[in-house]
Amino acid sequence: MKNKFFLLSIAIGLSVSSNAEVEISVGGYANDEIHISANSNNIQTNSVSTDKNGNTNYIYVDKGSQIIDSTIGSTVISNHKFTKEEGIQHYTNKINRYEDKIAKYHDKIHHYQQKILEKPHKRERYENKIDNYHNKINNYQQKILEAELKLKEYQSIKK
Amino acid sequence: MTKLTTLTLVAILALGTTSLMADSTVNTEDNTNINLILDSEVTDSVVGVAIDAKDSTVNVNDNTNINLILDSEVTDSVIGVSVEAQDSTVNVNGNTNINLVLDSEISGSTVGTQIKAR
Repeated sequence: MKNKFFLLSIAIGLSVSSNAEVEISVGGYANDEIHISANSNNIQTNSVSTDKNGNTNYIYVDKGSQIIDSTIGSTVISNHKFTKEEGIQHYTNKINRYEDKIAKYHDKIHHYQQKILEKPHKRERYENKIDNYHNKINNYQQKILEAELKLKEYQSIKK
Repeated sequence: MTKLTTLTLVAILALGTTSLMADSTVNTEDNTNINLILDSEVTDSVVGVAIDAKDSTVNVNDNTNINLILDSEVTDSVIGVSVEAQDSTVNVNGNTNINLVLDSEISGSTVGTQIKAR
């Protein structure tokens, strides 16, 4: 397989990147030829190839957007296992993101509670919105619990 | 799944094409996929093409994928093409991906193509 491994990465918060065809580094790899063989610990074996000359990525992210812990373009994850430190960092970031979202939804609930006072004739409409945000908060609280369990797993790993 | 044109318009959640394959050859070729996510929230989802393959050869070739995310919030999701493969060969060649993110928040997600080789 002579195709070059070619993907695109984008810096978080990058405002504009159009016509971009950028050699990627996912997890530090940027090789002419990549076989991903995840068979060091078990029987799983995978081979992934992409063609430098074939794949073209055009990306535009405007200034009003936020990109957090994400990839715009292409990403390859090959049976990746975090180190203890990476796992702790990954799940701590997740928990922080979820807590930020919950805080944002509480602000929205407060906003619509005020709207009910201002426009009581629209109470039902606003209450539906508030219920919706409560559901979202419950969903993210559940995700926090799951992330906390994973975090504890990584924290308990002995070096 | 060849020569397919999909247009996915997300209000809350819409899923384009999903394939679960084992011991097979999966060809996703010459498709045009357009995913428009407008004023929406997408969580824990794949919008576009999802391929879950085991012991297979997956060819994702010569596709055109257009993802437009506008005034939206995308969390822990893939917008575009998601390939999850176990004990498989995955070839991704000759594709054109156009990703536009406008006034949106993307977190814990991939916009474009994600390949997970388990």
